[in-house]
Amino acid sequence: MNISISNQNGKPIYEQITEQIKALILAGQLKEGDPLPSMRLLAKELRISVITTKRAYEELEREGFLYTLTGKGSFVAGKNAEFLREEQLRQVEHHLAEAAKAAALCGMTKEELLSALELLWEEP
Amino acid sequence: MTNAIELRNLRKEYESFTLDGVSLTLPMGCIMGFIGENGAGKSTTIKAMLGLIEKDSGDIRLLGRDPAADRSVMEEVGLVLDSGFFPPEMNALQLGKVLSKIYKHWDGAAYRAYLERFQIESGKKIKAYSRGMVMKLSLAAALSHGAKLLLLDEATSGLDPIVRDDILDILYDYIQDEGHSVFLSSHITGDLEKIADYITFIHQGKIFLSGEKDTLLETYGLFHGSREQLAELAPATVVGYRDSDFGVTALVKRYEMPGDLAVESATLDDLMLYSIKGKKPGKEKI
Amino acid sequence: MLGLLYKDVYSAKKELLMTLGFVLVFCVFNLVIGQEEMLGPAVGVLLSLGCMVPCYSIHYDKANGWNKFICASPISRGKVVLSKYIAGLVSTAVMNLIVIADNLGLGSPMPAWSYPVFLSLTLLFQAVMIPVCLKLGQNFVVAVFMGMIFVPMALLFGLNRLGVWSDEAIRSAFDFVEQNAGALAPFAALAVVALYVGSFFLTLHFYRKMEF
Repeated sequence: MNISISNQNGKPIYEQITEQIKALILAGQLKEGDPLPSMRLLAKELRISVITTKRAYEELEREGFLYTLTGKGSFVAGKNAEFLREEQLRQVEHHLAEAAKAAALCGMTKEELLSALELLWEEP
Repeated sequence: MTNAIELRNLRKEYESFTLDGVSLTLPMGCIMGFIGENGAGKSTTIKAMLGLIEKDSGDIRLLGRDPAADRSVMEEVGLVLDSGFFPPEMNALQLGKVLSKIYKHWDGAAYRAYLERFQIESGKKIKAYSRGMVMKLSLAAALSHGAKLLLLDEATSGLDPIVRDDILDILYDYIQDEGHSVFLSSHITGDLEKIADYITFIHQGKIFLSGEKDTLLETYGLFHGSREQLAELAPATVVGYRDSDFGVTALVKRYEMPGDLAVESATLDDLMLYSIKGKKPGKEKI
Repeated sequence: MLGLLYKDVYSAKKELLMTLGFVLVFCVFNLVIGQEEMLGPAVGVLLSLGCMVPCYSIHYDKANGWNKFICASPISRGKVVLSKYIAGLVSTAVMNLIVIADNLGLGSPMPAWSYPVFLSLTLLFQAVMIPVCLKLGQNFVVAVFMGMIFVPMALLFGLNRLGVWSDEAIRSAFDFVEQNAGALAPFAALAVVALYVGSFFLTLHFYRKMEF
């Protein structure tokens, strides 16, 4: 599992972890039932505090992306991941709707909006 | 669950310095970084915990027990100080033999494994060791008697980044076991920024900031702006500010800032610097 | 506690071997030359070295920061002090045995009753010097040692010269002691033992209060 965190990008580290794990799950690289590294091991690999990884895992568990069995570890949750992919799609639609509204307000055309989206898509 | 360390109102008075009511708690299985400038009281606090100096008042509990009343708790406490304390005429193997008679649960095999991992020649006299090797030897000894709590006092100062990284690696391994806790004092905040779960700041014998490291680094941030902007902020939001070439830089509480002002991340160094040397809005420099 | 004694042996191996070597040379020299007059100084040297062993140990611990370690270990401060006194007793015994062997080797120029006297003297010196070493340091130990030897002698000679104590008075005092040695001996022995034990508690008190 490849997770990289950056101290520079301003986002709290636990958020970076949850985002990357969610991304891996949604992309199918982590499948239902796959074991995740223990909180302590992940902290060691990423050279961060255990409390951070614990928080990331707790949030992921709350959102239904993983479940934890005492003594065994944490595993990717199944159905809920799909369900939340739909949730994610809904988020995208919502943001696009907002963008469309904002564009209309300042008189942007659909073409201008689409080319702006093209540019943003290229950015890392 | 018992805490690894509990200090309540620890007090120790010297002529020129007083440790004034220090209280802190380290939950089991966690790492706490103890930060303060030289002379702030870090070593005094640690020495009081270990029983090297006698406290004037207050409570100390290590792993739930009072070390002054029950010396046997020290079987489970490992220590590394900023200077060597092993006899220079001995070598590592002889030291191992001596330590096996001092600690009930001495693990000779683990000790020799650490010596090998740290590349310490077992036949070499301690007086011939470099500073880094002395630290590593102390660490090897501290890790080889079943210690559940490691206390390190400025153990990494004066060491090059490679050795410091080695030591951090070892601490990460140590902490894989949930029953192990670490308390390390340092003024090299970079090390602590990565590994610590909790941070406690001490200045002139008093604790002035303590909490989960992540929370601290999220709660506080640096704001760069003009004096006018600073004046408009509520005084409670600003911890301390310093003049810069183009205005002021202030350490602020992120969530109390007006939404349109940019706040960037602060480091532990910033937290310490601005709290101690920063000017308070409306007051002269402390 | 064994560990503490091990540590003393390991860390002072060089000094111990040197001392032992020195002692052996002295004894062999004596036996070969067969001069009884050398026995006196030899005894003096041996007993002094015997006294000093625990002091060297205390000094060494201070210099290396060992106290910072051992006082943060499960070993109580009382045991640490005890280990110094045990080292003292052991070194006393060894030195006295060597003196006895040397004496016997030379055909016993010294009477048998001198053995307990030497033993008591060594213990007396140790009892004074160990707490001095802990509290005041090694330099004071040497000063006190010299003082303990020379002050009584100076007093004796001084008082004699000043006419306060005439030669006959001193001789009769010595005769008195020699005649009543049998009766006085147990009291003297008891006094030395009491002093030694008292010294232990004093040292313990000092050590308990020390900060590292």
